[in-house]
Amino acid sequence: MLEIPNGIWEDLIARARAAAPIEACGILAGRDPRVERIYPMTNADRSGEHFSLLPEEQFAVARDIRRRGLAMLALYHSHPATPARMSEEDLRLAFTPGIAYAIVSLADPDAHRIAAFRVAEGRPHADDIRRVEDPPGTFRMPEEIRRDTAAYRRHVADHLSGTLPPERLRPLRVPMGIYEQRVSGLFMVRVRLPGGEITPAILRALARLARAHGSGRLHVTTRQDVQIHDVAIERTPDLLDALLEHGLSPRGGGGNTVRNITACPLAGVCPREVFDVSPYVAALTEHYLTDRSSFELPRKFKACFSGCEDDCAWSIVADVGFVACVRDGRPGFRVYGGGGMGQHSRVSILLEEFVPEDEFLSAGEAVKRLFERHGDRMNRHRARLRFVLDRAGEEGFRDLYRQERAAAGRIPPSFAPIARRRDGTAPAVAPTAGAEPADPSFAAWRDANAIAQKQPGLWAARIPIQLGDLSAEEAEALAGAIEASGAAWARATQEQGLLAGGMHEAGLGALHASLARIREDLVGLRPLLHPVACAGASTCRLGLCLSRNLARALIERIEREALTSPALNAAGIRVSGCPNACGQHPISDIGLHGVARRIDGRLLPFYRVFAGVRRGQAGRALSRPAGEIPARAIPDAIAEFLRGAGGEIRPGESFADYIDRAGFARLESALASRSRVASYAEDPSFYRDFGVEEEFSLAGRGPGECGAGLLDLVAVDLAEARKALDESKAAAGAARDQALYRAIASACRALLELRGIEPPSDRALFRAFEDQLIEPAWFARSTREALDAALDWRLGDRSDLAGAAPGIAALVDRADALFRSLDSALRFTLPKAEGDGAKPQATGLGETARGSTHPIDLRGVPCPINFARAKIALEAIPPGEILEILLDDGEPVKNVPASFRSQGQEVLSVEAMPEGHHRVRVRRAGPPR
Amino acid sequence: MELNVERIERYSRQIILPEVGGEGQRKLFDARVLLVGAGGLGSPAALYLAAAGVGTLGIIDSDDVDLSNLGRQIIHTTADVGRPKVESAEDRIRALNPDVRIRALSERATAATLPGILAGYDFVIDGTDNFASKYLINDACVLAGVPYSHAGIIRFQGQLLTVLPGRSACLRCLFPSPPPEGAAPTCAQAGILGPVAGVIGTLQALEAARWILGIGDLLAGRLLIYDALRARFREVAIPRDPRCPVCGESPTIRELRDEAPVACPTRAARV
Repeated sequence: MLEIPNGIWEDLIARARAAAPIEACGILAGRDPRVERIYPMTNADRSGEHFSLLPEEQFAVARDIRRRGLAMLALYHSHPATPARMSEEDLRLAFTPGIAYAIVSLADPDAHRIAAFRVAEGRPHADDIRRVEDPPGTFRMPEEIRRDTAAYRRHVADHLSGTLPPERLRPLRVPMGIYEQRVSGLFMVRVRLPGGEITPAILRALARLARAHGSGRLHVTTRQDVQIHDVAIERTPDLLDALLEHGLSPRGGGGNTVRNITACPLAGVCPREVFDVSPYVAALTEHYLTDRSSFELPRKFKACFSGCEDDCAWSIVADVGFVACVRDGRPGFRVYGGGGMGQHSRVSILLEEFVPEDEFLSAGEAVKRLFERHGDRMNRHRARLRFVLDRAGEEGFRDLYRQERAAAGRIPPSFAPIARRRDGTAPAVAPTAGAEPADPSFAAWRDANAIAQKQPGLWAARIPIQLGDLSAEEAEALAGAIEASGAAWARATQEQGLLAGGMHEAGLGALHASLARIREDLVGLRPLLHPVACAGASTCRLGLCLSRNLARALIERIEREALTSPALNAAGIRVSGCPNACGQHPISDIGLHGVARRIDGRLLPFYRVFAGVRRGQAGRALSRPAGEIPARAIPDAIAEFLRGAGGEIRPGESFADYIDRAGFARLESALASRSRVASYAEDPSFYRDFGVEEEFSLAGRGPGECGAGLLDLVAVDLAEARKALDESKAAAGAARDQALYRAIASACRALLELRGIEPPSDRALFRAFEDQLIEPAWFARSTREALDAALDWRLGDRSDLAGAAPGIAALVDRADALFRSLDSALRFTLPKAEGDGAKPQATGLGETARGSTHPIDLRGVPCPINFARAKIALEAIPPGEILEILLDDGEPVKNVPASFRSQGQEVLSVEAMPEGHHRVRVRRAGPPR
Repeated sequence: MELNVERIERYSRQIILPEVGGEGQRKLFDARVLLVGAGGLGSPAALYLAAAGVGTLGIIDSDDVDLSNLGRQIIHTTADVGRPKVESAEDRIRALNPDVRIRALSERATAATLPGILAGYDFVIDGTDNFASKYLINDACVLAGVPYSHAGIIRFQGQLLTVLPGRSACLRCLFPSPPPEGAAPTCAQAGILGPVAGVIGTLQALEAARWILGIGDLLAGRLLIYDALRARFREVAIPRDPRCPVCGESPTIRELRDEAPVACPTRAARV
């Protein structure tokens, strides 16, 4: 008996047809009698009458089957022209006992048949073969994820009982895709959806779970995930279990992990695609998720698949990007790597011109391992793969890739069944809802959003979702609308929206009508009216500006002045609230990111504006900066630009071409004319962000998170301090004193910003500086004199600052030095200030740099290599210093401390951690050897 | 050379020794050892020094690999027969440890060339098979002040002595001049059991390693004799000879000369 899920049944037939006139062949694996995976293999005979497998493929497949805990259930092959019966040849070559032989026959063009046989005593006996439902979910969840989810439940229990403080739960929680929202105590759960695939059933389930465990708020992300918001931590384990039942998990949704793999939303139906990349997205997702190391990478890792050279999945900014292509009739991929967006975005480079489909897992594994091995784990800000590319250079990077490719060896792709009815073999369901007769808006909607699929007679439609936000009710209604239209499938898009398809034409009308009844933006016409924005400072701890509010302000402006035009129809806007590119502004037609600037001592929100992205045949380039202006001026500037652009862009000209030709200059001038900042007295609205009454501040943005925008601002303030100091040297009298005051005030403010402190007055500024920086001895006590002098001068109790100049200069120098010494956790790594009564520090650089803030992580390192590394680290610190190391349970924690003791080193403590590892502290005995 | 994660793993077994550690490993990286002869003694010595991570290995040997070598010269393979020995040695060392810098010289060391060749090396290993070469090496090292390991093997016997010029006995302190022509047989004439070469050559590598690491005791002033038939080690103290012609109080040898005909008699016969 063989139970074959629908998805695999259809895959068998599709592969048989694709291979004809040659016999297709491979292995079916699973848990008897249920087939769970299909392993397509090479027919070494390349014949239409018989087949044979390659030994090395057989070994690789057998290993992979074992690794997944499955068994080989059947050997399959196709008969392009003959019936589904075992031929003499087939019988002769049937040596494997205990399995079935499945034959796919294409003999009858109207009715492809699959039959199964078992062979006993050289004779075939027909075996039962049953077609069964596909398991739920859009990919096959590896067992490891279930275990991780169970472990997570235990961690939350420990946390709730008080044994695991929040900062210790964090590294366990974030790689499970659970992020803390700005309102403490509530969390967001990011459910990964490979390629954004989502069925109406899943959408309903997510809505139900959002209501049951959260506030009902859902969000579609720019990486095709769906987030469930406002979940209390104690509800997260139940939510995760419920998600698992639907074949879903947020595992890897966040943290230093392999993130959701994205793909063209039209994969499987796009008229331009080379082939459907969806099965590959699922297979690579499964491959990565099975490996623990995918959750312990140096930083996040983003992969994507594009179905053709148009590169709609943006391989130009992927850590690893696969672009479908065909060579000599074989499907495969062009592989790109090392791209990424952030403070230092860069375009990916070509790693391999053609990787055949049976090697694509090896290629994906190679890039991941390259990242694992070479990503800089010590410096969070330079840890992404694109920095490895920067450091190694293109050729160096390609060499590393080739080495990893060779080391990764053969990884046989296998595919789990996923209901896919895009190829037209199963008929789309007729719509159950009727179209509204003669709805005038339908025609416009259809022109803007309907797409003819490559399958004749089938259609897809874009469903924009403003800022990606849906309530649970809206999501349920949306699921109903999609079903009622007869659509067979849906995907989340990188524009925070959805795409539904596989409908007959009649379904379009039904869909439009249903969507219009749910919410207006769902039948929106222009991407310009649907800017994509990151979460922004309202919910994100790293955010500087309220990007969503700006997005809304732009929508309002564009609608009010009717700034869209047919020629500008396709242009999109993306807004990020800080230089981290969560809104993906580097790949936007018009992109913006928020920054904080200081004018006359006050902070204001600014945005830097970009344009000119290119992908695919049109070129590979990120958007370029065109200018930086106060946030308040952005709607005016964008409006002016769009007005001019609408008239200037030629019919049929792409936005990218227009930007290069004339648009960039127009944008630059629109920005340049609005760079003036009104004084606070003149127009305080400049000093407030969109949609809020309170003044712009960085309060609440703390250290510990990688606040790229924050560091940017601190650097600007320190540069300001330096500049003021230089000015003071060239000036005299009041001008000199003012410059000196500016210098000390800027330097103090800069360091306090690092601690998320934004003092309301100068007196508070110096008091806070005293508390935060002089008291803990980061500055010598004598620095107080400079602060007092400055404050006295400011208050008029002192007539000049000349005498305080050296002290102020010393403060600025020290502030600079401390800032440059910041480690990736935003901690100073210089020795504290000594002398003048400060408590003598027993240790210098050693303990600060290598004490409890920087344990050497030797988890995963086998004995005795772990001891060798620990020993070398100990040698590097002076006698008397303490080294902290992390070791795995078992042999490592037994052997390493013992080895240290036997070599005369002092083991101070061995502490068991709730996460399962151990922390060991060793004091170096001196004198050396 | 940087002690990266991969190198730590490669050398982990010696790094964890209290006497070695990362510091010792760095000393090995910085060390330069010259091997004169890539034959029975040079083969194991070169392989073990390369494995330990000695940063630079110089190898000088003018011979080609001969089938008769393969009974003991384990750095060469059957496929190498006919190739210059230093080339074959270089290939094997590179395959074992690509970190090692190799200076291979397919030539004979002579009085004229040896001083220049050994300049810059920290330690020399005498892996030659004839007395003329051994005395040449001794004199050159003593005159240059470079420590070296002397060794010789025949039949089931081997011996080695470490010479620290100016501090411990040199070869001429033991035997002021080479034996007369024909008095001592060569391996070709008398024979040798392979592993004897392995033992002595490996002990030479250990002398070099201890010298580099600055640990333990060297065989300076001590002649170690191994009887492979009786499985016995014997030691003879060799004091410095104040009348030694090259390292004594009034040395008469102040420059190098090629002693007797340097070519091996058997080879000469074949040619």
